[in-house]
Amino acid sequence: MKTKRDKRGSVTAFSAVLALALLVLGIGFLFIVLYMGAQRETKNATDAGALNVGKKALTDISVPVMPTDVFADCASDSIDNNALRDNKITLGRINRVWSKAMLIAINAEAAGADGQAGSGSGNASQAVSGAEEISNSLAAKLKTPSNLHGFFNELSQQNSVRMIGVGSSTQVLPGAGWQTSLMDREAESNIELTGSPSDNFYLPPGYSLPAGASTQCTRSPKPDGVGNKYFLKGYVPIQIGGKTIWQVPFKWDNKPILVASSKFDAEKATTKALEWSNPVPNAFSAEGQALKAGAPGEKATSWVLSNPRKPFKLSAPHSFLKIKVDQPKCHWYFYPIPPIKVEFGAAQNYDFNSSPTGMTGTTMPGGGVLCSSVTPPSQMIGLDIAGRSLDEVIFSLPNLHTSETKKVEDQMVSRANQMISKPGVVITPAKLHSCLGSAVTRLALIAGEKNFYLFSKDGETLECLPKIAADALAFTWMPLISGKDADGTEKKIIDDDYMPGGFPLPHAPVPLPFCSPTPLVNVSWVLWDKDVYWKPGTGYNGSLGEIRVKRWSEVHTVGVCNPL
Amino acid sequence: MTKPIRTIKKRGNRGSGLMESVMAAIILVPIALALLDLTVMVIANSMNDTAAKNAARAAANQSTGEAAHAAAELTLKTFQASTLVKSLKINDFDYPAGGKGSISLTTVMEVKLPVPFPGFAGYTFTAKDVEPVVGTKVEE
Repeated sequence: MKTKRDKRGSVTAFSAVLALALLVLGIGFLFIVLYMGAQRETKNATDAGALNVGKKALTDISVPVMPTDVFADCASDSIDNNALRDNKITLGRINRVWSKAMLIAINAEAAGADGQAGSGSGNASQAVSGAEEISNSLAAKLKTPSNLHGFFNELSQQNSVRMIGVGSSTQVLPGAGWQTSLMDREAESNIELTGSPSDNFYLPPGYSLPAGASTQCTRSPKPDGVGNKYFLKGYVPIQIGGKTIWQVPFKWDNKPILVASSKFDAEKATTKALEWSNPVPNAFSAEGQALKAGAPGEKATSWVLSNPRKPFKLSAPHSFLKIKVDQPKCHWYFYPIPPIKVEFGAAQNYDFNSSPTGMTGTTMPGGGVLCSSVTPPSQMIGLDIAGRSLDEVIFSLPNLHTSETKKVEDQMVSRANQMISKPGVVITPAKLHSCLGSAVTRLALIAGEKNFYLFSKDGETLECLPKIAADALAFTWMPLISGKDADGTEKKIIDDDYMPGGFPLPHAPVPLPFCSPTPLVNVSWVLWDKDVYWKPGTGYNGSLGEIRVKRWSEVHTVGVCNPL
Repeated sequence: MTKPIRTIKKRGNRGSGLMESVMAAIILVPIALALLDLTVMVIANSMNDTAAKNAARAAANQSTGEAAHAAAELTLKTFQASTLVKSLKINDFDYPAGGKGSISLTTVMEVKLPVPFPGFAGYTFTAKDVEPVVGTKVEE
């Protein structure tokens, strides 16, 4: 039997149930929100930690090099050659090491093609082996996750994960979440080439960079400022004289960035193999775990692509080109039986500080046709060098051998560019001539200096100074290497370039008995002569080569008499 | 004379539902409103966290302290003020000297609760984020 009183209190009961349901839903909602918030906080903390890994991996993991090591000059993030080195090769610097080894190999290859390799080929092999050794050590360190854990914790622990609980923090979760990858394959490295393919990147004359070794900026859209610069290509084998050179890609002016796991995984060495047996990675994954009172809470993984944002030019930072000026001499020639010429008498020295000067040669008995003796008239000697700068001594008159002179210029311009580390700076022939033609070289020559060093103290500008000044200006490194010789063999490039050194002067030979000097033919004239030698250096020991200039004068005296 | 007959009416049911509803409402409405406030607080806290994260990330991508602060401010401007979010601003900003290290940024968000309770009309949320500076080049 139903009564109407059954309904009484039903709303209260319903309300109580509803209130309970609301409370349960509310608490459930709160827990879900807290869980999701904790997940987001953990991910954010992991992102920060991973970014720090990508940043610190560039600078804080290193391979030591000895101060005397061939790559010690690459142990700096500065383009300034005088900046102190810390004897550490990092991820941000490894491309400097490989590119210096590449430059040494290129110089050896070019010298070999000219038959001037000397010990350069062996040095190039050692340089590439040395670079590989450093690279392998660095790769091993970067692939050891425990070396990166500290960088992760440094940042992840500073980020709050309060939704997990008060006092909780995100820390490293060691294991499979810590991997490396080789991303941006075939993109540019942070090594910029000088110039463009049209000027052969200012590499040694006759040498061409292998096809596919260089690229322009691969970022899309191209950032402002990169222009038409060319860079070495990353994660692509570059073959130089049978040796393989590698670069790690770092896209131009990119920052360390977080990347998607799919892209990261697709470029892992295990997924997509590289010819490089022990590649240096440029991307890292990091896994973190938010903990509360020792109990696992949330975990998250992030993937980061590193980039030092620090380009360098293809260079051998601590290097020089030596220029040697031989002692100028005056030689005396006679024509006893024309056109055969005979040198008679000791060659006489003349110099920059005493030129021009009048000189007289030794009297040559029988030094002319039907002549008892021939004595050269006093000649003005030294006008070919008087007041000249080093540039004029090498390149100016006599300059009939223009193609050979161009070869010398090309070699010097190429080597000068190898000293420059600052991207975008190109040493043109005009800049080289300006440097060699400075008042300093002019005064130094007058002061009796014969040995000069072409170098860059700051990786940006070129200097040409005597040894003592070069040692002083580049005091952190030049004194250690300025005594080294180029490792190639010397070859004469400009062979006896010459020109008349004034007007012919008449003279009076002493005739044989019953003879008298023939009118108008007894003259003496001066020739200015020049040889230029080139001894290539690979840069392995710092020397990029040696230019030797030989300037001399020849006084030719013709004596002719005729019978009375 | 006839005596009026007193009849006892069954009034017990009438109005009891209303009374029960009022009683239930006294319990349920505050719970529902409290849940609404809680939801607003949770969302606001999440927004503040995101704002701090985004501002710190933007700042970390800059190479100078001035540019970093400007970038962080610009990022916060994308968060629109509303009737509930009264203000969102940077409370603490620390850019490392020379861009070496990490940036630390704290945001403060003032939230007005949709259903103010006595003595609890609003709440101020604080969120801190620390990011490595990636806007600078490798230091020389």
